Amino acid sequence: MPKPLNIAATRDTPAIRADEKTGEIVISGQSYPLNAASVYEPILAWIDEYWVEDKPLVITFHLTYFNTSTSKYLLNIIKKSEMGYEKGKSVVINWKYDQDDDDMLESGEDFKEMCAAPFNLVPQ
Amino acid sequence: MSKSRKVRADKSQRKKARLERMFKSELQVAERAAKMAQDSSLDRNALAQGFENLLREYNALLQQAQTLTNIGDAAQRKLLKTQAELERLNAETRKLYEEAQSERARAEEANRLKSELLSVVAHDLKNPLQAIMGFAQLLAMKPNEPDMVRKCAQRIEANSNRMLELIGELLKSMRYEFALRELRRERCDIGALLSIVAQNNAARIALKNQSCHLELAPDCFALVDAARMQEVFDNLLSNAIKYSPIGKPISVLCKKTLAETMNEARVLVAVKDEGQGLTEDDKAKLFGQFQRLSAQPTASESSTGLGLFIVKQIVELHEGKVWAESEGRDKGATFFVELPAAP
Repeated sequence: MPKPLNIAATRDTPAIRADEKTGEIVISGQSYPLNAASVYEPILAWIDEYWVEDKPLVITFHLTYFNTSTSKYLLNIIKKSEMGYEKGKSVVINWKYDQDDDDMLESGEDFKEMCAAPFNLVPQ
Repeated sequence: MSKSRKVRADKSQRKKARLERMFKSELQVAERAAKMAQDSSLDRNALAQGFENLLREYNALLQQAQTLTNIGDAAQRKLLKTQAELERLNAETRKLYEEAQSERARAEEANRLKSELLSVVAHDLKNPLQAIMGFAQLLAMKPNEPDMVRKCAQRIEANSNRMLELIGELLKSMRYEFALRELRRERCDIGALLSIVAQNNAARIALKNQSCHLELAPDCFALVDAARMQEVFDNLLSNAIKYSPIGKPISVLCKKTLAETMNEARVLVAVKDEGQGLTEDDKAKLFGQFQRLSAQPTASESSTGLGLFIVKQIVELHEGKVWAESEGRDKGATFFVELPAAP
């Protein structure tokens, strides 16, 4: 079982919460770190550990701004989830965005297009 | 290797490692392609199958790259919007700050003017008061000399009048500082107003054996507070009378003109005298508060130094302009008032 992740947001990194009991990962806030790997690799590793067993996964993104490195890692997380989904695991991805934030909606639509797993666009 | 070069090399290594982690799956595809290219044991069919797989993966990666580019653009757009909003807020804050600063400067200037006014008023009131006290003492000392009593009484009266006039003008000038909202403007025939002013001053003109020539064009209408504008013209004509020698002519002209810059109709009033004229210094001080000019009244009339200040206040409250022209000392002067014409 992976250890839970509970990382508070900073000025340039999002809040990250991963709970193995509920099977939920929540990433929220702004993300423009210099070293995106240090922020997002632990999440990828967490998913690998979590999926040692066949358990359902819900990933919720609620970001207000992110840089290009972050977008590559978001795609990596989505792609990893999709691979699990294609192997028969239960996966739901929620992309929350502020109602008047057209740019975040557009990014969510782009990610959704790239993903075969269930992907919900959820206005806030 | 120098220290800074080493730091740079370390930094570049870390960056490379970061990118390799980020693009792990892409690198894996490239590695598989390299292995396939070097594997001589593969037959034609295996090569074709491998190539097809690679192509599929390449297409998926290409699609991802396109998506990420799009998402990067959206993020940049959002950033630019935020920046523009920040700049707008910044400009707004700066504007508010500047307005507050200029408001403060205006308040300080008003305060300074008030202090200056107080000191000038105190000084101007002190002189006639001292004269009154002097003549009153003289009266007390020589109550039985009728000539002296009469002379003292006349001087006391003259100085009292001077004080009264000064206080009256002062009150008026203070009132005008707050008069902006009090103007009662209506369509008014400026020529008719000038006729009334001329009639009101006829006795004083006659007293100095002067003449007043009126040249008033018809239909010169403007939106003015008639009572205030009458004071303006009264002031200008009084000055012309006061500063013109005995027997000299004064002329008052009123006509419609077009403003030079915008094609707007204006009403122009000119009051011309053949008096003592204005020096360059006079022209600079002319419309200031409590200004004394080089010219002196020709029949010992009193002057407070507030008249033209009040004139300027009133004319400007009517979006008008007032100015004076003179070719110099003893060459006479013409005072102009220009007001927006009303149809």
